[in-house]
Amino acid sequence: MKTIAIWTIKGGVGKTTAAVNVAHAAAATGVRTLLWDLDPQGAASFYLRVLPQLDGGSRVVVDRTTDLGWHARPTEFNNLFLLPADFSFRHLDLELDAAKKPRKRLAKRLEPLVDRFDLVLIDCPPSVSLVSEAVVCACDAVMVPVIPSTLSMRTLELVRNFVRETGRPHTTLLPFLSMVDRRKRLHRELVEECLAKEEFLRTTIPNASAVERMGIIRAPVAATLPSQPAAIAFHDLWSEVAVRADL
Amino acid sequence: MHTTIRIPDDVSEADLQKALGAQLSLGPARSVRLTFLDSFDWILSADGARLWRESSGGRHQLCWVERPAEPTYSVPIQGDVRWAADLPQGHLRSRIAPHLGIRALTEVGGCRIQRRRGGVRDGDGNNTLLVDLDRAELLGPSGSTVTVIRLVGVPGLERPFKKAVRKLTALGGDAGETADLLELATAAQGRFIGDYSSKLRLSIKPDQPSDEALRNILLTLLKTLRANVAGTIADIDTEFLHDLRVASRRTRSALTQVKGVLPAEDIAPFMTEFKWLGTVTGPCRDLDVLLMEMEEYHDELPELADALKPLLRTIQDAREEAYREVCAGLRSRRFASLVTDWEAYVASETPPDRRPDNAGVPIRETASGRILKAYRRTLKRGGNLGDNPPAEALHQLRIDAKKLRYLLEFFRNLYPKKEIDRLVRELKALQDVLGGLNDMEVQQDRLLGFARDLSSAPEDHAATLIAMGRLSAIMADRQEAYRLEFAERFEVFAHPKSQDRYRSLFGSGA
Repeated sequence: MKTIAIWTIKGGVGKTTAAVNVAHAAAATGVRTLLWDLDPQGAASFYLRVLPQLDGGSRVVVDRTTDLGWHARPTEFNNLFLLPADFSFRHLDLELDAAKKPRKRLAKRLEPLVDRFDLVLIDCPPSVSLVSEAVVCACDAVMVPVIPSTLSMRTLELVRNFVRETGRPHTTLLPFLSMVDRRKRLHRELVEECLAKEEFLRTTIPNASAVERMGIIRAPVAATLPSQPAAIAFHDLWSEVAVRADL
Repeated sequence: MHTTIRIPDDVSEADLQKALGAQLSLGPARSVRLTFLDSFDWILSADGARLWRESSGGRHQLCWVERPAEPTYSVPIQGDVRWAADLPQGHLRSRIAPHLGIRALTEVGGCRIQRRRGGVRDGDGNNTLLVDLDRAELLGPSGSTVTVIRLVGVPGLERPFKKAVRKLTALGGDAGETADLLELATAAQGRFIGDYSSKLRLSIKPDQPSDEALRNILLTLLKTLRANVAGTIADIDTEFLHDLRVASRRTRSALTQVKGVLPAEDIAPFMTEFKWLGTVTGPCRDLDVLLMEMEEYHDELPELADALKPLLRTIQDAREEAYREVCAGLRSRRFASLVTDWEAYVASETPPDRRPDNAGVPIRETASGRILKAYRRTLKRGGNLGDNPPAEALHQLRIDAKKLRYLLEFFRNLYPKKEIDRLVRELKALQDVLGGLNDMEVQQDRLLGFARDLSSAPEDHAATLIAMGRLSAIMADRQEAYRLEFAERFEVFAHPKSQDRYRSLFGSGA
C-alpha cells in the first residue's frame, strides 16, 4: 500500500479536484483506492456524493481503538472508496496534539488497511499545521499542485522545505502544474520554466470548464466526459504518479 | 452491506421507483456483455467467488468478487485471459493464481445486460444506498431474461439498505440463488456450479453388496472419464487428459484390487481395452509433465534458456505428435465401443448363477480386507528395499502405494473421516517422493532420447547438448534429494503406530 497526499499551503489551486480525479483514474486502472478527505470543507466527499459526516468525528482519525477501515464508504465507482470528511476536522490539530506521538499517528492509523487498499490518497486542508506534519509523515509521496504564478512557485519552495524537514527520508515530492490556461502568455512561460525542472510531473492539468462542472455533476470528469482533455490529463497524471510511486 | 435481489419479471420500473423511493436516481442504461470465467472443475466459483469479463463499447475489464457480499473489484484487460499468467499483475493475480494453478479459465456462461447505475439519495444529493439495476438476457440453449438489483449499503446508514431490501422483497424479490447471475447463466448453458470435480465423490453404504458398490464406483469413474474427453481433444489444459487417465487407471485398479466380486471372464476384455487407453495417452501425459518441468528449469536457469530452445521445440513437437495420437484414440471406434460397452456392463447386474462368491459380501468387509492386504504388500516391499534400492524396485513400490491410495479413496466414506484423512495424508507424502523419483527417472531417459535425436540432426546442437547435460545433472540431484527424503517418509508410513491404525480400522472384526 502506498500513501500519497495532495497538499499545498495555498488554497484554490485545484487540489481537491486533482485528488478526486486522480483517485478515480487510479481506481479505473485496478488500484484499490481509498481517498481520505481530511479537509473539513468536505469538497472531495461532496464530489463523490458521500455524506461529509463521520460517526465519532475527528476522534476517529486519532483514536487507535476504532477501526478506521469500517468508515470507508463505497462510491459509484469500482475500487474507489472514500473516508469522508467531518466538520469537526477543524479541531483535528487539537485532537492530534493531545495524542501520543502525534506526527506518527496517521501513519499508524493507516497500517491496518494495508491488505485492503493499494493506494491511500489524502486530500489535505490547505494549511501548515500539525495535521500537515502528520500527513507528510504518513506519506510515500506528496503531490503538490502548482498554478503558473509567481506566488505559487514561492509556495512550492515552502512546501519543499517543509517536506524535507518533516517527511520520511524517502518521501518524494511530486509537483505538477494545475489550472493551466494556455491562452495566457505568463502561464505558457511559467509552464516552460517548470517543465525544464525534472521534478515536475510532465502532465499539466488544464483550467477547464469540465473540471468546474464537477460541482454540478458531482462526479469525476472521466466518469461523465471521458474524452475531455481534462479527463485525459488526470489519467496521464495518475500514470506518471504510478510509475514514480512504484505502484 | 451488499446484496443482490432478483425482481419478478412483471415488476415495472415505476414499481421499483416506488419501492426504492422518489430519491432513486439512476444513470442512463449501458449495454454490457458479461462472460463468466472459471476452470472446468470450478476452482473459483465452488468457494463462492465470482470472476467475469465485462465488455462494453470495445473496452474489457475483469471483475472479481471473492466472497458473496464483498465489493466488486475490477481491472481493465486487453484480449483474452486464459491462464493465471494472463491475469493483470496485482491484486487479481495474487488472489486467483494460487488457486487456479495450471488450469485454464473457460467461459462457463454469459449474458447481455442493460445496466443502470446510481443510488438512493438524501436531500443533499448524497448517496445513502448504491444501486445497480441489471436487465440480463441469459445466453444459451435455455436462455431467458431476468432483472437483478445489486444494493450496496453505506456503513453507518443501515436503515436505507434494510428498507430497500424489505420493499423489494415485498415486491416478490428473491435474494437467494435465483439472483446469482452466474448460477443463472451456467444453467442456461445446461451446467451448474460444481457439476465436475476431479475428486472422487462417492457415497457407498457399508452393508451394500460388494458387486453393487463396485458398480457404483465404476460408474462414477466412467462419468469422470467421459467428462474429460471433449476438453482433452480441445486441448484446453493438461488436466483434462490427466483426469481422464486417472479415471481409467482407477477403473483398472478397482477391477484388479477388488477381486472375486465381478466375474473375471467379464472383466478381462475391458481390462485389455483400458490398458490400451493408458498406452495411447501415456506419452502425451509424460511430455506434458516434462514441459511443465521445463518451465520450472527455465525459471531456475534463465541463462540456459537460449541454448535449450531447440530442446523445447523438440519436446513440443513430440508432444504435438503424442497429442494427435491421443485425439485419434479418443475419436476411434475402439474408444467409442469401450465407453458404450463398459457403460452397459456397469449398469447391468450379474445373473445370480454367475455371481462370484464375494459379490454379496457387505462392501465394508471386502474393502477392509483389500485395504489391509494392499497396505501389507506396500509395507513389505518398502521394508525389503535396503539402503540403495534400484529404480525398478522403487517404481514397483510407487505402483503398490498408488493402488493402496485408490482403495482408501474409493472407500473413504465407510470409515471415520479423521482417521482416513490422516492415513491418506501420510500415504500422499510417501507418494509425492516416489512420484518425484519416478518423474526424474522417466525424464532423464527422455532427455537421453532427445539428445540422441539432436546429435544426429544435421544442425549444430552442441550448445543445446551441453545445456541438456546440466539439466540432466539437476534432475540427478533432485532424484538424490528425493531418495534421501524417501527413507524419512517411509518411516512415517511404516511406523508401528501407523500399522496399528491400519489394523484397528481395517482388521477383522473392525
